[in-house]
This record gives sequence, structure tokens and C-alpha cells, in this order.
Amino acid sequence: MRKNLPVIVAIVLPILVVVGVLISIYLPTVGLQPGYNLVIASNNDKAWSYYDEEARYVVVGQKIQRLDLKKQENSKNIGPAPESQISRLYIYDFDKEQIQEITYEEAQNLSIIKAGNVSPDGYRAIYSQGGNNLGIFEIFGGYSRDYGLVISKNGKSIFKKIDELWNNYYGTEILGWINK
Amino acid sequence: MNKQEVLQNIKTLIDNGQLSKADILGLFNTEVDSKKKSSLGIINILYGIGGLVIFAGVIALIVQNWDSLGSFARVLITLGMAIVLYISSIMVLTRQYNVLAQILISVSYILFPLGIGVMLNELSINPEIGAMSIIGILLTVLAVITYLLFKDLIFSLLFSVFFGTISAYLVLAYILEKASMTYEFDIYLYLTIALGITHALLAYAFTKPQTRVVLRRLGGLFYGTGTLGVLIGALSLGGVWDVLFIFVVIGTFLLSVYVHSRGMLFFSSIFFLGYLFKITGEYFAGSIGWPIALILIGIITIVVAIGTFKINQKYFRNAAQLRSQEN
Repeated sequence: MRKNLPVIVAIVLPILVVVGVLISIYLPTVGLQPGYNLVIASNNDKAWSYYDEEARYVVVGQKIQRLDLKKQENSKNIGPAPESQISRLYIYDFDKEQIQEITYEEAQNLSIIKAGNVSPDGYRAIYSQGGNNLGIFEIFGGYSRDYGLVISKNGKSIFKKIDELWNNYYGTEILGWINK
Repeated sequence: MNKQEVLQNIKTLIDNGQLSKADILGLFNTEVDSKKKSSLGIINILYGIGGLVIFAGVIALIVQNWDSLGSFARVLITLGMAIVLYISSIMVLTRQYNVLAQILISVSYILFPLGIGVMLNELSINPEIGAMSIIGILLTVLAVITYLLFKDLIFSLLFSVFFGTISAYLVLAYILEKASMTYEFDIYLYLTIALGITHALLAYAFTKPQTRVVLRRLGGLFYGTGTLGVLIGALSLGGVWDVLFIFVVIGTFLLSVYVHSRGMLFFSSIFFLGYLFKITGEYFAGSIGWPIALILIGIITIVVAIGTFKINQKYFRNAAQLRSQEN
């Protein structure tokens, strides 16, 4: 045993590093699961319409409402906004870990339990760049460039990558929470 | 004085430390030995060329006829060839054909990942990083078991370390990908340091006095790669490691003398100079100015070069001579 100690340590050392990374990433996320699903709107940061018939979504009471935007006077754009700039509605399902687009008509049937980015059970959701689950490596800095939801509660956080909204970093807004 | 008496006298001198193994080996007819070694060397070179030609032939065959080959043929000439060469290397593994066996197993190990990749591609399976990690681990296990069963297949040991190293990076990449932390390069650097220490520890185990010469040579190689890993990782991290690096590089300098590794000494010198450039550029060039900084770096470079030369002369020359006599 003692004779082979250098070989044993040599094999165990990289395994320990990998296991350490695994623990530092996944340990803080154990038990983090909101009891509600999220309603998200993309391209929802506009105050004015630059094309015809542009709108954004807001929560009024427990319902989602479409808010038609006034066209800016000096805009010379004619016709509907390009596909990439139209505001869309999504539901993020925490159990399935997937995002699904819904129509405005479907959204009418939803009952918003709580508006804003803090859930009734105390989870805070932010659409952002990922990388706040670095564990011990956080002290050395570093960040990731993936986009998605950062869900946090009591100092613990978990990152849910969402590829569908990657190009809408500034316009994505968390409207509220619905029952699962 | 008969033969028994002569041997007895020699034994007494050895026991008293007045006679070394090198002294006795030096008495043999070196001319005959060198001729024998020379002819063996030519054969080994031809084996090497043959192995390279096989490898080049397989690659040329694949590239030229890839489109016209069916799926089965594609797998056959890559993975099939890897398996055939693997079996061949074991079959020809005798003292006489040892070098040939090493070349065959090496080409086999190079073709294995290629062949598995081709097979998965033909099965329309896109090998994601998780699958690649598993393939890497399986190849590592294969190479380790092969070496444990056939201790003369030393290149199997070399490839087991190579596959193991690649697998460690792939497993980490898989974990980081799953956690959406693909761009966390610092974590890869920490793994690079750990793998560097792994290589150095393996080198230490391989270079013990009682081990075979070929294993000790492999150990020498791993001291080099180990030092490279530790120093690349530590130098690239920055931050607090800008301070820690000086202790790391002094450590590798001292260790190179302790373990008699020229590779370790060489990389320690190179990285020490690299460190000086980096630190000067980051922290001192603005205050003292580049011209003075360059003069200082130049002086330190000369001092480091002289120091390295002196260490090499004092600690390694005699050890190298002794090793060459033992061989």
C-alpha cells in the first residue's frame, strides 16, 4: 500500500477535483424548487411603438393584459414589427425544466397568483447571465455567458438555462407566478 | 586465481562500496555491444517508419475514398484496423519484436477514438461530451488493463495516462456544460494543476531505482508534462496566484534537483522568466518604464540561465552518466 501511495494519490487527485467541482455546483442547489411556474414576456421593455400595432404585456389584478403602444411620431416604419421584435408570452415549467410559448388568448385563461419576480413561496427569479453557482470558485471571479433564469432563496441559487430567449437579454420581463 | 575466487573478490569490493555496477559493465567489450546496439537501432527505426507508413496509409485511404465507402467499410478501416493492430501488438510481443509491438499498439490507440467516432457517426449518433467522456474512460481502462496484463507494452501505460488526462477534462467539461458554466476557464486551470501533480507523482513512482530503464524514461517524460501542467495552470490563473506562483516555481526548481529531472528544471526556468515578463508588464512597467524593466529582465534572464546551467552541471551530469552506463 505504502509502496503504491504515489500512484494512488496520482489517480485520486484529479477525481477529487472533479468531485469537488460537482459538489460545489450542485450542493447549493439541493432542495431549490419553486412551487409555482413562471410567466415571462419577451421584448417587453418598450415604451413606444416604432412599427404599427406594437404592444407589451402587463399584469392587472390577476390577469395578463395587452397594452397597445403609441407609435412614436418620428418613426417612418410602416407595417408590423419584425418577428424578432414582437413581444411574446412564455410559461416556464419548473418540473419539466422547459419553456413554452403561449398565445395571448391562452394567457387570458391564466390566473396570476403573484405579479413580479418574487414567488408566493419566497423565490426570486431574475433573467440574466448565468454563473452565480460557482461555489468555492466564486472567490476567484469568473462568469458564464449563458442566458437563463437565476432562481434564488435564502442565499442559495440555481441557474436554469433558457436558449429560446438568449437574444432578448434586456427585453425579457418576469410577469408573475401561476399554479403548477 | 580461479573464476570463483575472482567473483568472490568482486563481491567483497561491491559490499565495501569500492566497486560499482558501472565499473563492471565498463569492463565488457563495448565495441561489440555498440555494433549490436547499432543494428538493433536500425531495425527499430525501420519498425517506426513502417508504423508511420501504416498510419499514413490508413489516413490516406480514409481521406481519398471516404465518400465512396459504405458505412460498414468506414467502420472496418478505422475501428476494425484499431482492433486488428491491438491484437497484432499483443501477438508479436516478444523481446525481439518489442519495438514493433509498441508501434502497433500506439497506432491502434490513435485509431480507437477515431474508429469509435466514425461508428457513432455512421449510426447517426452525435457523440456529445458526455458520451465522449465515457469513451475516454473506457479507453483509459483498456490501456491500463492491457499494461497490467502485458507489462512489456510500455506504450499502453503512456496512452493510459494520455487517455486518463483527456477523460478528466471531458468529464469536467460535461459537468460544467450541464451546469451552464461552459466558460469557467479557471476551473479547467485548477484541473490542469491537479493533473500536473498527477503526472509528477506517476513519474516519481516510475523512476524509483528498482524500476526498469524504459519505465524510468517514461517517468522522465511525465516529470516534464507534470511540471508543464502545474506551471501553465498556476501562471494563467492570475489574481492571488500571481503571488503564489513564485513559491510554486521555486518548489519545482528544488524538486527538479531532488528527483533529478532535467525536464522539470527546463520548464521551471522557462516559466520563471515568463512570470517575470508577466509581472513586470502588469505591475511595474507603468512605474519604472519598459526600458528599465527590460534591462532588469535581461539581467535576471542571464542569472537564471547561469543558475540552471550550474544546477544541471552539479546535480544532473553525474546521474545522467550513471544512467547511460547502466543502460
